[in-house]
Amino acid sequence: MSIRVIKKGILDTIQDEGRYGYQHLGIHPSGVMDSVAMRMANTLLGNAIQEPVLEIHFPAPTLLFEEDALIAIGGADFDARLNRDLSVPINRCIAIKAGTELSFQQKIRGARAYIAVRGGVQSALWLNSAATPVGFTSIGTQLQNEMILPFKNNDFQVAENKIFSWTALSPVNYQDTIIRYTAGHEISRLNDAMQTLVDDSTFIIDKSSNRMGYRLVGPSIIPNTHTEILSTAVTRGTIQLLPSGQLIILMADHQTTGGYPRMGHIITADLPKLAQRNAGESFQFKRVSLHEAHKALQAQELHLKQLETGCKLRSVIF
Amino acid sequence: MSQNNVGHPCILPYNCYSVGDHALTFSFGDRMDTTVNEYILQLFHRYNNFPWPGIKDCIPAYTTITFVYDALYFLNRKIDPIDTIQSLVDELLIPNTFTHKKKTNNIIRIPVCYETSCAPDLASLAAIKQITASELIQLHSSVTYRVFMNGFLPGFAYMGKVDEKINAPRLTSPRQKVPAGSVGIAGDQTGIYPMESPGGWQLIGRTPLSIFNTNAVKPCLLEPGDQVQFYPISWNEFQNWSVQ
Repeated sequence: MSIRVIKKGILDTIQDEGRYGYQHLGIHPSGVMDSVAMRMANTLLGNAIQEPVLEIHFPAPTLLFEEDALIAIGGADFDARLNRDLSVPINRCIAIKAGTELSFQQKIRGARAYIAVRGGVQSALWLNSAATPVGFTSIGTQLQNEMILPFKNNDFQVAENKIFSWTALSPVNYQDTIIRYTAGHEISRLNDAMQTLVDDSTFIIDKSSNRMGYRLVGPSIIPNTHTEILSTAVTRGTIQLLPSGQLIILMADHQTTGGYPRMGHIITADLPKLAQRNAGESFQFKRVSLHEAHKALQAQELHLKQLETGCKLRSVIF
Repeated sequence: MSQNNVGHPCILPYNCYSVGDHALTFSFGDRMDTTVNEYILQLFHRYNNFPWPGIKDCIPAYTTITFVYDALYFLNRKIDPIDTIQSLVDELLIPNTFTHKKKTNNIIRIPVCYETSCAPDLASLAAIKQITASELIQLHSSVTYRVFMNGFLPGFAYMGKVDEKINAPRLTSPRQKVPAGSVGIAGDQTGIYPMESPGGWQLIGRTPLSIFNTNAVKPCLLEPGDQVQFYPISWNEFQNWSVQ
């Protein structure tokens, strides 16, 4: 049948890779914060890589499986347990017997975990996407107590709870504190000394950070001119300079357009690293060329494709 | 990294720059201008008639049009996304490839209650501008506005230009909660908050209409290029609007 939400967490939503095609209306894409973690969880299960998943934070939800299932947990490690006992590692396939409770004990590392179910869970689609922008009750799915998440298929049966032995390795080095960016169109508003200050400083993620954006605590960045720009498109990873001299990085629930100067843009390959940083944690910027950004993305893609091939070979045993 | 097409036989020259590793912006100016914005929207409609593979979104703004692309789509095929998108845009710009029938812009009329309970900043703005409240309402509701672009929130339309006698800076400290339907002014723009949200525009009224509705076939009432006119309604009419 389904998963029953015994106790909701602080922010549990269903997400996919984002609702694209409507940004001209101001409708932001939303979607998962860590797309690599989502993809790995789906890959482990032999799902389509864009199959919607649960994105959870800590405190995390407690979920009851009312039916046998094969699941994988990716991204953050929240010390997952089956029936409050058996410890479940991330990036593994886990067979779950009906009647089992999945809960999370503590935040070990990372900021967001992803739960994928083989075959997927049914989710509310709007404009062809299951993505859930935070703050819109009528779009997507945010978990509530006693909510039922029906499976799309229920063809999977297991004899007992079981953790499969192989672990999928992520192409992302989450421990790395260097976050790469490409220059933004308004970077020239910073003189050389200010640009060096950005690259040489350590920035801390402010506690007000969320799925919309990360506010950074660091040195004051003072531009040559304070004029706003005429509103124009921004994207996921855009680094805006606020009039206060602080930087903000736009994340999954970002607006479609903005009027603050754009100092740079986090490269797509490094967004998962940033997405798994908690408030209070720090990092350094490193500027790279567009070519390097694309190379990094291709290297990540190659790793994920190899993982897909490996999992397809393994999945014959399911 | 900027490129331009000066000398190309199209009508307006552009500047082209990357917005990170998955978006490319073409800029046709840096001032709010109806002619430039109309040009941007023509491009947007021409693109929409024949969308290109590898493009996830096309975002028109005041003077820019941005293509959000799937970088791997291009890289896996060993083609350069920047060069490819730029040559596609150049093709769109050639006037004789024009295929889009210009949208007949009906004027969308929007009722607005300008009374105090709906308009927390109207009295102070009128005082600063040294006009009466009714003059302000008259100036705001007598102009037909153009929707230059959508942004900020789903369905939020940036409209202009407001009469210079009533233009107003953003609040120095934004409100934590602006009610849905609130009509505000910022600079020479006017807009309607589609849903409750934080906001820094000076609020001079509120419409009972639903600006953004996820259940509607057309979720956003206002889209780029639309013509909009406001007309005053009373507090009583505002409250009873849903039953009309």
